Amino acid sequence: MSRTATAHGDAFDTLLGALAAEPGGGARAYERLRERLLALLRVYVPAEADALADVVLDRLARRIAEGVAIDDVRAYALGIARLVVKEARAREMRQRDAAADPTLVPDADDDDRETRDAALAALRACLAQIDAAARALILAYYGADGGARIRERQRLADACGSTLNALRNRALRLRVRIEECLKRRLGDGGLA
Amino acid sequence: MTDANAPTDDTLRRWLLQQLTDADAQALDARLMHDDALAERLREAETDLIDDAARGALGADDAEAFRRYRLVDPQTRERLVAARAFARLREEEGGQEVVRRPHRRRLAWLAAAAIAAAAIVLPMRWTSPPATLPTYVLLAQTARGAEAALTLPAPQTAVRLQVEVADATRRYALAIETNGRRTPLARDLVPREADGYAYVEARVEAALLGQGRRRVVLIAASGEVERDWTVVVGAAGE
Repeated sequence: MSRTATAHGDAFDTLLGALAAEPGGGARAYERLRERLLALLRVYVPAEADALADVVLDRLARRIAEGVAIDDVRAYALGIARLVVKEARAREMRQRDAAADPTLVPDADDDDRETRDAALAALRACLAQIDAAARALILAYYGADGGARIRERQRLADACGSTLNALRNRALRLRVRIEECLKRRLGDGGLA
Repeated sequence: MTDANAPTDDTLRRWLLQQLTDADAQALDARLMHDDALAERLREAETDLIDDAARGALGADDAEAFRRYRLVDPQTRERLVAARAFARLREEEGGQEVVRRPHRRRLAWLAAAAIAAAAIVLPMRWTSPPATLPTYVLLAQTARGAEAALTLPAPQTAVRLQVEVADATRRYALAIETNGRRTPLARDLVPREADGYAYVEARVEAALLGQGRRRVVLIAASGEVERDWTVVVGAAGE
């Protein structure tokens, strides 16, 4: 389990204690809370989600250590997260104003042909490392478009004798594995 | 909360693109803190969004929101490169194993070429599997000025356009014009060749295509319009 950057000692232990009654105990509940905060923050401030999740947990731990009575830890954490998102967006606005550049968002199509060819070659290599069934699954699962996407995935789940949720989890794990492989092959900074 | 209340994939996409009302977004925020499955569905919605962006399959508003809200994240930019590789692989071989049938795609083009003299616009609907898109072929000799307006049925979700180009060594962009307003459809398209014909291909969302009279514009890398077609989408009697 990873502690937040600053939620040390008593505050952190108090937070674990506040989560101890949840299924799996305090440590597991802490990890789940962090995962949820990460998912939430990725919606609004994806570039800072990881760091801001730690900020939220740090503030939460300090409130609890200060003796603030909290009935629902997740709801309280959500309140802190919303505040942190507002702060991050205000900071982002100030930075944009300071830079006098309204087009800080990078172009979606800024990678060149060479990069694309390298990425394709890397993807082929990464897919070659997994078994044929997994390869077929990931290409089919992420292969359909638009409205056909849901039908195709349901069809795959039926064909696998699996539920859609179980298939989704498997596909997501495979996708993460492939993307991590791709990133390694292209080298740090090679993708961005 | 029951499954019946679960957000749709479209809602999750609009959440990611900051297109929900504050009230709807806050309801999802709260749900995410307590719903184990929602985080996974959200991750999937994000992946699908990136895949669609990689395929050039987002409408203009969604594409702008994607650039504004998602591409600020280096991790998303990394994932976009990966998604583009998946898209290219799918085009070249991968997705065709299950989702597509390459020989049918090739046949679509060859069939168009074979009857080019009489062609206006050729709908090539694959009968199976269901993931395929209706494909329409725009030939050089059916470009504007050569024929009357071409007719296309209004698509359910999207169509695939195969557009003949003059020079297989150049790159092209496609755009659609409605009442003089031009909307990019795809760019940096690399021509393919089949039996002496060169063509580029792009998927076009139904929302972008709309209904009524439109002008499909083929633009060379130099910026010049090489050719254009007038099409009527959703014509009577379709």
